[in-house]
Amino acid sequence: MTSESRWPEVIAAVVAEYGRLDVLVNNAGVGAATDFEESDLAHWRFIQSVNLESVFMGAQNAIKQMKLNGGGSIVNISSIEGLIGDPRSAAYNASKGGVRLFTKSAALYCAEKKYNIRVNSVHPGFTKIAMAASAGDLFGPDDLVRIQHEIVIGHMAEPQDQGFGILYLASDYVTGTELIIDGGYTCH
Amino acid sequence: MAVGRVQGKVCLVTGGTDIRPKEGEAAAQTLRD
Repeated sequence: MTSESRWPEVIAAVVAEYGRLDVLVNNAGVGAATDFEESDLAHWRFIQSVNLESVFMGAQNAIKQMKLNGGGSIVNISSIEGLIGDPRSAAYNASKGGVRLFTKSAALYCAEKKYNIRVNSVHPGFTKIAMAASAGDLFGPDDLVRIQHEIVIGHMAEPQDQGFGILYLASDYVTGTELIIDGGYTCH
Repeated sequence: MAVGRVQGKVCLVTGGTDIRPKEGEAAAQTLRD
């Protein structure tokens, strides 16, 4: 995913097996809480490589294929941290904010070219997945209590909550938009 | 990565087993993504 030369191979393999590509979900991402003054450029570049550069390469290669199909949909998974800042996640914030605006640029490009390819971003908030149990090591009990309190709907998202949003954006009309699925975390 | 049909559309999804972040990074991503 972070290899420019491998992306055309991936798309070609999908087309070889399925005959076309209709939807790309740029979902892969990594993050880490780091001290702003102590983190190094290698860490910064690693985060940008996975979270932002792979989104660019995926979209670029998908568009080249989808335009041959007569259209398609690209869903880029950003984050609520692409919308709001976190003092311990500068690299992550920068990468996810980049995904947000890259999405709009790609949407405009595809519309201008009349490719019938839609490009949107999803901004998940805190979501229950298998590894969540270890998150307390990073955030601490007080942080988790605060987070839970600030999710106004009262609980973290289930993975399916994110999936429904992605599925909607894979449909045939919406483009250039950002869908926040965070239980109201960012509304105050 | 994963590929398959969803509602008749061919979908490619990145992420999952091809990402092996260092311990701690995985947990952070869990909460944020």
